[in-house]
Amino acid sequence: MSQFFSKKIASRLVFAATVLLSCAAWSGVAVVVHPANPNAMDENDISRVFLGKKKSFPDGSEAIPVDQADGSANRSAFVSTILKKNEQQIKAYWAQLLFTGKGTPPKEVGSSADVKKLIAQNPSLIGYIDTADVDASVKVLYEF
Amino acid sequence: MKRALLATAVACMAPALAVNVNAADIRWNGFASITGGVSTGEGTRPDGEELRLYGYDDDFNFRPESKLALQASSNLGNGLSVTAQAIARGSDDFNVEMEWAFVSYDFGESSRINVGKLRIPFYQYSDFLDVGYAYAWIRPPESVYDLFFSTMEGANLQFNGAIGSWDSGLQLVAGRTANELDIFGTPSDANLKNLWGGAWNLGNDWLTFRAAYFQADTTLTNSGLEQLSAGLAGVAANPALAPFNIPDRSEDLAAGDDKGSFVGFGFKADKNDWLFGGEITQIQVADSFVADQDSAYVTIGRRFNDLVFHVTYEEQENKVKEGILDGIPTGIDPAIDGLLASATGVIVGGEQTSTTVTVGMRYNFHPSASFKIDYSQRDYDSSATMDVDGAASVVRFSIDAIF
Repeated sequence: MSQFFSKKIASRLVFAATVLLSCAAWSGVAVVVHPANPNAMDENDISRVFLGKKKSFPDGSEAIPVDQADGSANRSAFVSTILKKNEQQIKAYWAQLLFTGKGTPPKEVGSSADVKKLIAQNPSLIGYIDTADVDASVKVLYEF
Repeated sequence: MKRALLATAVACMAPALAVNVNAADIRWNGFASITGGVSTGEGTRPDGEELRLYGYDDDFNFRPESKLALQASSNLGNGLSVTAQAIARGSDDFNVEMEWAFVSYDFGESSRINVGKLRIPFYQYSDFLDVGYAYAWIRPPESVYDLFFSTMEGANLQFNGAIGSWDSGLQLVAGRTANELDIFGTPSDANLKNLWGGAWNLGNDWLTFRAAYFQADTTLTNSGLEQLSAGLAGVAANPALAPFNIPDRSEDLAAGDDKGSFVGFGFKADKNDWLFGGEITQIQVADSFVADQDSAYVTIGRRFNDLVFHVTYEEQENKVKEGILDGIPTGIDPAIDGLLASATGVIVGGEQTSTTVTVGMRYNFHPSASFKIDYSQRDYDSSATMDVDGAASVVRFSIDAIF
């Protein structure tokens, strides 16, 4: 009886922990690169790459940012937290560069899973994914 | 199903991306402004000419400012890319014109050279002058944005860098351009040769400063002007008038390879949903009848989520050059007096001072489109020689989209 009781508690705890974990995961975004990418970057470095102001990683190798689909929750969080702009401001920002040939916005590649898949294959890429999707195929540079 | 399709598409793209994310595909983008307006008042010059704003009249009209553009760009790899932008303007019967067409080469970490048909970066908003979506007004303040040249054929060098937490951007340009325009009601040609100069931007995430200087050998070709100039030269060269020692002022009146210069300063701020901005410019064409032009604007706006309200004050002063016809005596001959009167008319006709106030609203009703309403009123300084009666005003709305 006591054993059954403790088992029940244990399974409840596991359930609670899972819920907590998935909540945390759902609200978190991780900026990721290929595991072989040796660079460390802070928020400002990441922002500069995604705004087209910098085209390389700190070690000088080419950096190619990839965005998630327009309107996704991860993208909105990334734009407001890292780029410190709202959706309209970022659109106007890119319109200014795009129509003057000064730069093109990052490619849009869909969901966290799509971004992860690409980054796992190319050391030049940098993207952001749901923290729940983080695994050994990518390296986390920054989380928020 | 959609997700599955997308996943498949991305999976198919993946190998290509893994090899080269900048594969030489063509990227299409575009923007459109559907702008309509109606004139609600006009100024009248002493010669009877009506002064109206932005090309509108008493009937509601979509033509003066509506436009649609398509841009194709292709990254060829190794820093090389090609961009072309075609634009159809209502003011030009929606004829499609190539506005930009250039080849770019990136070198170093953040330098680029563009060669081809390019925008001349005179003003803060020059580079994206046509992209209504990129600013809150229906068009940037016309008192300042008043040059009839906007593009050139030539080269543009761009250097970008950081100074501490500030971004620095330097553009150096060299090229030439020509345009047809109306001078004294007659079609004329304007030519800018040996055009060169630069613009420097220094900004952080909310504040930007800008300085620009350009100069060019400026020639204006107009039949009336040529006759006047020839008349002045003839008077000076006439042996019968030699005792009067009349100086040859023909070159002081005409604009033939005369040095035209442009100086501009600007700033822009966007903080805590408050928007501020301003520009001040000076345009001169030395040794010519062209009046010196000083202009400026200041603007303030406030953003409330998807709404922006703004007020802008503009000033333009065209100052007549003194002394162009000095030394030519009157009362010798009615023909000379007539010539002097005509030449004086041409010089004085350039004088005009005006102030313009615009109040407007922008509503971002869609992530890629916005709706705008602007009301503008221009008052003309009555102390000027060309005394203008009344004020010109216009109400306009616009839908601006990017795609």
